[in-house]
Amino acid sequence: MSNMIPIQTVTVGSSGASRIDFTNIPQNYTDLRLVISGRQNAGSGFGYSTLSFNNDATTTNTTFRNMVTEGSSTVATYNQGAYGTGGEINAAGLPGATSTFGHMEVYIPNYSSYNIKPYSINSATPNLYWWWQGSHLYNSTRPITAIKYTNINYNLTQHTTATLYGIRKY
Amino acid sequence: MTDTKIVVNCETGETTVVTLTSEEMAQREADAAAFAVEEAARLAAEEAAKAAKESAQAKLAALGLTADEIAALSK
Repeated sequence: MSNMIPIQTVTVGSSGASRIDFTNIPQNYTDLRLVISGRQNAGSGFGYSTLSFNNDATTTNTTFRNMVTEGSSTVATYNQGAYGTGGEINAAGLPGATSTFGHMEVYIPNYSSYNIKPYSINSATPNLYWWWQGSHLYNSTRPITAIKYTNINYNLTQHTTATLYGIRKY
Repeated sequence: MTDTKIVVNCETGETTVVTLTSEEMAQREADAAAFAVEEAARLAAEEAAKAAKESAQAKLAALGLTADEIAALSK
């Protein structure tokens, strides 16, 4: 039996924000799930973001493959590259301010372990009918105690919410 | 850009809005610039592939293949 328990929720205010940091993440859960519902001040387009753990600035500590699809067609792939330093371009397809809210979910199993950590990212960008799927690896044996979500080319707008959940399986 | 971050301390529940440091702002700008370069390269490669495909299809059509036959080649 598993339980999903909200650890913290944050809502972006009227001034917007470029980044959300979750710090001092408790280590007494099995998995973590980060859910973001939001949009960015990107007009009718969309913006990209990076995700990093533990303030880790080592670029080789994250590897990833992302695929963006629209219906049955692949729109783009974002694989390991120079997409940011100390992070990665991941599932950042949050829609622009004139669109409905998009969502992004990150699932990190065994986040407190001392092994390298695979995790997944999915998101939807409704204004473009885009669906992002990503398979990622955090190549660090450090337990995850902090998550940093940064919007690199736009800002999160008001009413964007981010909730970090802890999953208990036992 | 709104150069602020929202910091959520999961232990205490305290949420604070903090202005990014100059170092953090520089990092963000560097990430955006690096991404712009990569994105431009990706779009250029995508455009080149599309042009090559259209060129190949035109040459096949000139050889007498029908549209259905050309489409079947890419399945």
